[in-house]
Amino acid sequence: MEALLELPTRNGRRAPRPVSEQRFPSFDSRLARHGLHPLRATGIEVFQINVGKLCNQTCRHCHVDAGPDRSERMTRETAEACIRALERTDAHTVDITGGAPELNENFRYLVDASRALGRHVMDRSNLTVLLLRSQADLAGFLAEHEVEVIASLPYFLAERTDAQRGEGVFDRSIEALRLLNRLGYGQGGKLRLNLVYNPTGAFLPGDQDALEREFKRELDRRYRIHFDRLYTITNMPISRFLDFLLESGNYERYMERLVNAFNPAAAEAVMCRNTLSVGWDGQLYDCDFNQMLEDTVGFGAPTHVRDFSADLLAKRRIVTGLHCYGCTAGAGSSCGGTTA
Amino acid sequence: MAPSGVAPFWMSPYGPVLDVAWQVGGSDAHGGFTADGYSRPPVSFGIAFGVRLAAEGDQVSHYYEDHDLSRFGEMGRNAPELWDKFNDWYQATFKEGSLTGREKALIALGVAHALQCPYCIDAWSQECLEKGSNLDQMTEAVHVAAAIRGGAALVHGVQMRKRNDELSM
Repeated sequence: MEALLELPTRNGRRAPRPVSEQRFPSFDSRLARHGLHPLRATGIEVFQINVGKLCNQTCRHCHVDAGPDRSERMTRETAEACIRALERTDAHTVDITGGAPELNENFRYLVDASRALGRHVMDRSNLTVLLLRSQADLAGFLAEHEVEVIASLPYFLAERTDAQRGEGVFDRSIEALRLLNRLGYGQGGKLRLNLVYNPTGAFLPGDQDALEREFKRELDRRYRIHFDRLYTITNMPISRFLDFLLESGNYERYMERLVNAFNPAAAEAVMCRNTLSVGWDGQLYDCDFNQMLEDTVGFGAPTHVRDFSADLLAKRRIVTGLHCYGCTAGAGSSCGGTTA
Repeated sequence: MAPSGVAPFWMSPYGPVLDVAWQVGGSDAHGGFTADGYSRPPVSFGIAFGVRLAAEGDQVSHYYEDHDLSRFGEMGRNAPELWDKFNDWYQATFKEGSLTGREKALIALGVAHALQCPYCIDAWSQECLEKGSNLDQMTEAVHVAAAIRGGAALVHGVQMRKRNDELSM
């Protein structure tokens, strides 16, 4: 296993990084070669709220390092501050994530309040949460509020899905998808059901449209399940997936792949340029990945939701790192799939 | 396990990471190889061959070093026109057509096994995974290749029998 080096993050805390990452060209230098440095936000169209790390699953690739034992949760006070901040933006979409965001006691408040402001709401769901006894009315709540469900399903067979997400997760995910289909989700109407595909190993996602066709055919043929779109997302070389890369001896090869596949068109369209990410404690980040590295927004922008300034944040300079190559490789990767 | 006396690839300092000849918005969806020895990734990442760059000073004492794959483009140095034709044909071959990219990758994986090309097996195994194939499908593709190889050997037994008939009383 490769040696780790402790590097300071912007907020002074330290995060372990592989020694060999120093061999790769910095993301900023690559941006500069294509006239994209410094990378700046173009506005706040998507207001992403990560309500905490609590989850009923412990997935092997999770960049949040979420699980049942995590106690970081967004309080009502911070949730209300988020809504006050949202009100001051033109963001058309509120993207609620976690952990399993539905397990936060303020999840439904955030949905209600965002919808009352006329914003579209997305719930990043692990699917199995819909089957928990305590969440028996959750699917109905989501449908009633026309919440778009972005559901994780890395493959249409149990073996690969369970290898990434835990034993028995695939079967329960299929049950949850059937529940959503029965409520009208994934039928091409208002109730949008989109799936997220993450590669189940040290390889990159293939063509999004081709994989979507494959998933649609196989999920229909095998389980009579329907969904709207499939989003392919590249696994970021951070947190648990980084652990996997290091332990399996794949780190350098994977990083080379990301670096060599840098696509300026994808860099121009990275999601951080139109997204603001709020952490469970109200800290502000350029994206959910920077959030997990505890790299708050920088370069003079306010770093907490209580100090929210739509003007400053909408034009902020983006904080970058080596992991950003994950969003700019090939056809690009974002919370909404490919970008280029 | 790396052979003794040769640095394993994960310990080798690799050469400069070059910007790839990315064709933004172009029709080049299947990558290729540049004559200076660097691979160009396709839009789908479905790179046909690996991207590891050979390190200067690498000892050359074994066949099939995996980082040699990235030197494939050197084959274009002395016959560039032929190389370009190969490259164009190769890229066109793997574009989606009547067969999907995933189906073509499975065929390539089977052929790689029939030819017993380690570079091709590495590259097309990864390509198949990226295109969404699973281990059951990939294993069946290898069996198809193996069955054809086995059958090809066996069917020559007819020739053996004919020769036997000619020579025997």
